Amino acid sequence: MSPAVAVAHRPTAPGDPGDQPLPGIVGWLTTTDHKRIGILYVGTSFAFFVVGGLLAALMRAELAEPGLQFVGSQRYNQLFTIHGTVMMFLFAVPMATGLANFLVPLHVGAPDMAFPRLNALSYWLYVAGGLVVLSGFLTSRGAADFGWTAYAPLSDGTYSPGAGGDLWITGIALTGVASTLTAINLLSTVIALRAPGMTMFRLPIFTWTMMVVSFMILIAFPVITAALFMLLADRRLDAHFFTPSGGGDPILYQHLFWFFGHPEVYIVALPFFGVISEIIPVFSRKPIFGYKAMVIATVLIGAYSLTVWAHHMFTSGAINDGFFSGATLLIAVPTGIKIFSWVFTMWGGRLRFDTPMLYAVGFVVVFLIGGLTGPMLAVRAFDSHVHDTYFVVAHMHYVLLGTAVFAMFGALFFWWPKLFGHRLDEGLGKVQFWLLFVGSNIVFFPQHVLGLRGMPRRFADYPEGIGYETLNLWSSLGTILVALAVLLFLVNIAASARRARRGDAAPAGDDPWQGNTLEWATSSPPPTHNFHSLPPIRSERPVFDHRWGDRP
Amino acid sequence: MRASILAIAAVGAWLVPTGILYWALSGDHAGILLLLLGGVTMLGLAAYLVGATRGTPPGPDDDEAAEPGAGTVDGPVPVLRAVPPASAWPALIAAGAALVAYGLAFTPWIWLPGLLFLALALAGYARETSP
Amino acid sequence: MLDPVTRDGRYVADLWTFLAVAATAVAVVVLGLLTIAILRGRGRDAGELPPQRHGNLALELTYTGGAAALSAVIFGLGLWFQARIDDDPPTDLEVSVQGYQWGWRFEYPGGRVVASEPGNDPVLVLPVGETVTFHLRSDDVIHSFFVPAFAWKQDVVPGRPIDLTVTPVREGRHVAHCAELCGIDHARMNFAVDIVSPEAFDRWLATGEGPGDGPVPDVEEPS
Repeated sequence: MSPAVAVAHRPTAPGDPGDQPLPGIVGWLTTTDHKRIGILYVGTSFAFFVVGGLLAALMRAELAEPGLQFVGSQRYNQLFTIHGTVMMFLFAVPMATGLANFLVPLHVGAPDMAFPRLNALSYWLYVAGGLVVLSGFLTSRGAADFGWTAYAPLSDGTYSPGAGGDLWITGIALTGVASTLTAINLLSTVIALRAPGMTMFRLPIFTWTMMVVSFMILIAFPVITAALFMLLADRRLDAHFFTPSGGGDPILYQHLFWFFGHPEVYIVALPFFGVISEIIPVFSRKPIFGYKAMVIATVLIGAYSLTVWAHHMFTSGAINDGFFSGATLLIAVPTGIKIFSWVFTMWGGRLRFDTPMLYAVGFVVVFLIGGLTGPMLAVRAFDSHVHDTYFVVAHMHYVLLGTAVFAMFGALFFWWPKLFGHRLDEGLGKVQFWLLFVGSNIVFFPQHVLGLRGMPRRFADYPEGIGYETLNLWSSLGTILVALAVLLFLVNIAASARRARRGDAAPAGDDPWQGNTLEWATSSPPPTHNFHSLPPIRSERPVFDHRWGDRP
Repeated sequence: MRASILAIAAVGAWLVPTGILYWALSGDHAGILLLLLGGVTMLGLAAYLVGATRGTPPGPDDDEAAEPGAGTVDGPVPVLRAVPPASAWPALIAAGAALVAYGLAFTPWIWLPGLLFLALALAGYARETSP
Repeated sequence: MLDPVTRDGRYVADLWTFLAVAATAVAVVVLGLLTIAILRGRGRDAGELPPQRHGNLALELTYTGGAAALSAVIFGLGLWFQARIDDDPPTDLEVSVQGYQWGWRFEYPGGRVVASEPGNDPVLVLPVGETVTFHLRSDDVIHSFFVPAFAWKQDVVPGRPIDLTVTPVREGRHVAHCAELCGIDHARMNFAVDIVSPEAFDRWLATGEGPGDGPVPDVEEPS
C-alpha cells in the first residue's frame, strides 16, 4: 500500500546477519517470530486438548452406568464446566490462531505479522489466562462448576461462591484480550502486508477466513469481556445486573453471553473450513470450486452469525422466535455453498489419499451430520423438545469435532513438514484416522437418540429403567477408540521426530505435497524472514502456476 | 484493498439494518444496541480505511500484474520498523496481567502489586521501540 | 421415534418427522456425490492434471437456490406448526409449579400440594383430555420444566414467572426432568407425570388416594 510498507518485501539473502532467535528456552520466551509463536500456540493448545479430553473421558466413564461410581455430583459439574471452557477457549480458538499465526504471513508473502511483539503478547496472555482458569482446581471449593456458559443467577456469589468462579472469569477475560489483539494483528497483516500481485481475490481461502474471523472477534469479544466483568461485579461487589431481587435480569446475561457465544462457534469453525479449502484442492489437483463464491460465503457466514444468538434462548420465552429462527436458517445457505464447493472440487479430480486428505474427507462427513441437525434446532417448536438435552450435545460435538478435530489433524499432517522440516508417519496417521472416525461416531451418534428420548445435558447421573442406559454405555465405550487415536498421534509425533533427528528419513523439502500457496515456495521450515524469493503471483495458486506453467 | 474494505463494510451494512429490524420486533435493548454498535464499528472501520488510502495510488499488492520485488528499495536487509527480533516484554506483561487476574479473585495484596508490575512492563514494552 | 402424549407434542413429532426426512435426503445426496467423486477420482493420480474447472455458474446457482429454498420451507413449516401449538384450547385446570434447588412443588386448586421429598420424587397427576395451564416460577436460579413425553420444555427464570399450557391426550406415567443446570443436584430434580382418567383425577384431588401412590425411583445416592 504505502512505500514504507513495500520496503518489507525486499527478499533477504541467505546468511543475512541479525534477526536470529536467541538460543534455548530464552529464545522461545522472547521470540517475536510468527512461526515460532505459531508453533507455541499449536503445542500449547494441543496440550489443552489432551486435558479437555481427559476431563471428557472421566465424564463418560461416570455416565457409562447409572449411579455415581467415580466422582460426586459437584466434581462432575466441575468436569463439564472446565471441559467446555478448555475446549472452547483454551484449545479450539488458540489452535486456529496458531495455524493462522504460522500461515497468514506466509500466505500473503510477508516477512512477519504486522505487529510481531503484539503477537507474542497475545500468546503469553493466552497462557496466563489458561493457567488462571485451571488454577481454580486448586482452590478450596474447586474449579468453576456452573457450566462454560455461566448462567446467572447460578453463577453469582449467592449460588456459586468461591474463588474458582472468580478465577474462571478473570482468566477468560485475559484470553479474550489475547484474541482481540490477534484479530487486530491479522487484519493489519492482510490489509497492509500483501506481496506484489497478491490481490485480495488471490488470497488463500484460509487467509480470507482468518480475516472474517478477525471482524467477528472485534465485535464479539468485547461483549463477553463486559458480561464477565458485570458477573464479577455481581459476585464480588454486590451489583445486581443479573439478579432479580436487585432489579436485574438473568435474561440480560444470556443475551450478552450468546451475542458473543454464537459468533464464537463460527470463530472456531471458519478457520478450519479454511484449512479444508486448502487441503482438498492440493490433493485433487484442481482449484477450489467457485473461489469467489467461497469468499462471499465466508463473509456471509461471518455477518449472519452475529444476528442469530438467541436461538440458544428459545425455551426462555423471552425472545422473538421468528426473527432468530429465520436468521439461523439463513446461515444454512452459505454453509451449503461451502460443502458443495468442497465436494465439487474433488469431482473430476485426480485424488490422492494421503493422511491430510483422509482427514478432509472425514471432516466433510462428520461436519455434514452436525450441520444437518443445525437447521432442526433452528425451529423453535422442535428445539423446545431437545434444547438442553443430549441432542444438542450430539449436534455441537459433530460440528466441533468435524472442524476443530478432524480438520485440525488434517492441518497438522499437512503443514507439519513446513513447521518442522519432516513429515509425520503416514501409516500411523491412517490408522489413527480410522480409529478417530469410527470412535467419534460411536461416541456421539447415540447421543442424538438419547436427547430425543429426553436425557438432559449436564446430568451427573440418570435414572434407571427409562431407556438411557444402553446408549450411554455405547457412547462411553467409543471414547476408548478416540483416546487411542489421540495417543497414537502423540506416538507419531515422537517417532517421527526421532527418525528425523537420526537422519533415517529424507527431509521433507520445500514442497512435499505439491501444494498451491506461497508457504510451499520456501524452505521447510522457512528462514527467519520467510522468503528468499517469491514466484510471480497471478492467481490464488502461485506455486501451482509456477510448477505447471500457463494452464487454463 | 477495495475488496477488504468492501468485506468490512458488508458486515456493517448487514448489521445496521438487522439492528433496526430487531428494534421493531423486540424489546431486547441489549441486542438492539449490540447489533447497531457492531454495525457502526464495522462501517467506521471501513470509512477509516477509505480515508486513509484516499489519494494514494494502489500499491503493488493490489496490482494484478506486479512482478515479485516491485516497489521495494535496494539496500541492506530491511526490517518492518525498528522492532527487535526478540523481546521479553510480552511475557512480562502477561505475567503482570496474570497476577492481576489471580489477585482479583482473592485480595488486593496480590492484584495491586500485580497492577504495578503490569504498568512497569507496559512502559518497558512502549519504550523499547520509541526513538 | 417420538411418541408424545399431548396435543402439542403430536405437532412436534410431525415436525420432527419432516425434519428427519429432509436431513436424510440431503445427506444421501451430498454423501452420494462425495462417494461418486471419490470412486471416480482415486487411484488416477499419475502426476498429470485433470481439467482445471474453476466453477460452474449454473451448478452453483442450483445448489445455492436449493439450500435457500429448503431453508425457506423449514422456516415456513416452523411458523405453521408454532401457530397451531400456540392456539390452545381454553384452560380447564390450573396448577402452580415452583422449581427450586433441588425439587419441585406442585399446587393444585383447593390447596393440594405435591412436593419433592428426600429420596422421593413427586408425582404430577393430570386428567387426560383436559387442558392444564402450569404457572411456573422459581425464586432461586433458572430451572427448566421438562416432560419428554410432552415434547416440550419451559425454562423457569427467577423474576419471570411464565405459563405453559398442554392438553394430555393419552393416559400413562412418564418421567420428567429439570433441564437447566441449577447446581449440585440438578440431576436429582426428577419427577413423574401421571395422566389418568378425569374420574380418577377428581378422586385423587379430593382424597389424595389413587394415582401418584408409590414413589418414582429416585436417582441413586452416591455410595
